[in-house]
Amino acid sequence: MLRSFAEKFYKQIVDVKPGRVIYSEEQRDQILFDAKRVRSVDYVFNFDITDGQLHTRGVTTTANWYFILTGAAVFFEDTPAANLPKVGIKFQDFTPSSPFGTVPEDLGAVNAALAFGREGLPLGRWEEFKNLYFSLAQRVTINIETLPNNSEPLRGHVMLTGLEINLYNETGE
Amino acid sequence: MNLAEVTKKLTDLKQTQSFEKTFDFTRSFVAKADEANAFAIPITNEGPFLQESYNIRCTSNSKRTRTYHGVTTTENICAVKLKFKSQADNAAQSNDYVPAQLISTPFGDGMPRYGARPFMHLYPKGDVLIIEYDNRAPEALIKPSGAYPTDGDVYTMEDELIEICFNGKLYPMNK
Repeated sequence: MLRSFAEKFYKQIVDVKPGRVIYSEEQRDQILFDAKRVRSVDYVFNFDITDGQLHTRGVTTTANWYFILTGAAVFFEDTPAANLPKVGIKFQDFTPSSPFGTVPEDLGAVNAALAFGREGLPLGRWEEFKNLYFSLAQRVTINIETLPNNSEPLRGHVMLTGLEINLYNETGE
Repeated sequence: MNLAEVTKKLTDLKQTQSFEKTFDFTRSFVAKADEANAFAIPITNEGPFLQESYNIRCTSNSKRTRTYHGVTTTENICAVKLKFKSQADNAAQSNDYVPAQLISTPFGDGMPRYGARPFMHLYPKGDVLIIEYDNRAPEALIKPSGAYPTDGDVYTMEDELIEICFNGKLYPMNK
């Protein structure tokens, strides 16, 4: 079974080896504190399309927390008779620099991977993404664009799962 | 190594080895038809719990009867929506209610089971997980029109059984 991107990232913070006496009380506290600054969040959107036109939905991620997209799911309550809707994603409002010292890249490449229904992503199934390090950004705005390309009424739900990280020694409490 | 040193080493070993252990906790509940409600699950007082993933299964007892362009079809659905929140930090784990069908496995009848969904969250010792659910009928998507006055969606809501298993690690605190 493939380990998720989130697990890979997290294991670098908390990598306890059972049976080894390696942690002091301070180290334990630090491990738990670090764990508190990494958390998963789901951003959910739903849309009703009754006119066959392009629609956009958006949401803004948590302030002061960096966001990494790790997976997504889509579910249409209605089955279109002809063309499946296309769902795209756009990220906006990147900070000029990332904590890795690199300029965040254009995320246009992500769009193709998120063309749900046309790229083999089973509807309704949560899929994890890999190699998305460049999607690290502070408080991004996520836009979902849907193009049903048919005139039948359509209701859909989209969920984007991400890993939020606080690098400022804060836990958000 | 004298007896005192051996005793200390054994004590250290015992305490450090019990620092982390895998832990699952499960919860089943019935989402009442046409109701939205919330309940709390106390996390164990043994220590902080790091949730790494969860698995959800739900029934699809409710029905949607749709008449579109004069043709009527009926479909079983699960319209339950869920939201999780930690009481300690009062932070919701999603920006809105998540449809159970988006995060449940298997997704539907006859669909393959694909395992737990990774989802990281640390609950401090003594924290309480709050689960909110909404099993009310969705707003109709199809509505009567001039040419098709009988068109429309009718929802018949039923109780749904939701089963959740949270997987993660528990960090027993001895102090």
